[in-house]
Amino acid sequence: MIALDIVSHCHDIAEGTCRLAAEMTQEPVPIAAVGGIVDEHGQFQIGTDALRIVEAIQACWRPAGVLLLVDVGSAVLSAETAIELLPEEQAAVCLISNAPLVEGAIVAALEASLGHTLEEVNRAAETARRLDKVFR
Amino acid sequence: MEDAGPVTQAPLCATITITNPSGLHLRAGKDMAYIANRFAADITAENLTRPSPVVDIKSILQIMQLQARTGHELRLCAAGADAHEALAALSALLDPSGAAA
Repeated sequence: MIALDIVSHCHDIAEGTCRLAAEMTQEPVPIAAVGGIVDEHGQFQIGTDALRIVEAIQACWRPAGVLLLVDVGSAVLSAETAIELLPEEQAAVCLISNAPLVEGAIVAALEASLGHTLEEVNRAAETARRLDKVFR
Repeated sequence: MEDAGPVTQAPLCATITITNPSGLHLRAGKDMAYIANRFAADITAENLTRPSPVVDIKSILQIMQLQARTGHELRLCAAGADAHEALAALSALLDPSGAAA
């Protein structure tokens, strides 16, 4: 079973996407959510924090791999930095997905629950990039 | 003697009507995807009531592309050794009254 790490600029988006993804599982899938940055008052602000991503990855890490589902921009950069900060054996099985965050998390949770490999789950999640929602 | 190539069988198909008052929503679609993934057969669906692609129902996002409301008719087709069982299981989920044709 692989794990999923949801990374967003916004704490509420990360937590909400995590809840939605968990709804899609049949077997329990390790899913961690990390969003936003914590300011000097302990409040969440918009942003990304590589060190918090490291903690999230390590909280859900599995030998079969961790698929990181990210929103945009510095979420990718911070996820890359986080992976660089991990021990080599953990980093080796971390993969940042090109899938859109919410749709990708929905698919990835279901596919991970089916016991598919990291590459299989990511491939399925990335199909979300080219699937239309409405047909006119 | 004929060449013993891969066995190609015509798909089995059934038309079912969505009876769930909320339509084929995300949770119902999830149940459909998990059932479809239990079978080796290739299973597709098309919404006959509105413009729809023919989708692979082992994919939750493709199921969502059906955008099926209550009363919509879906054409389910399955091809493979366990096609019959797959259609029976999916029909039981989506159309519990057993009116699949």
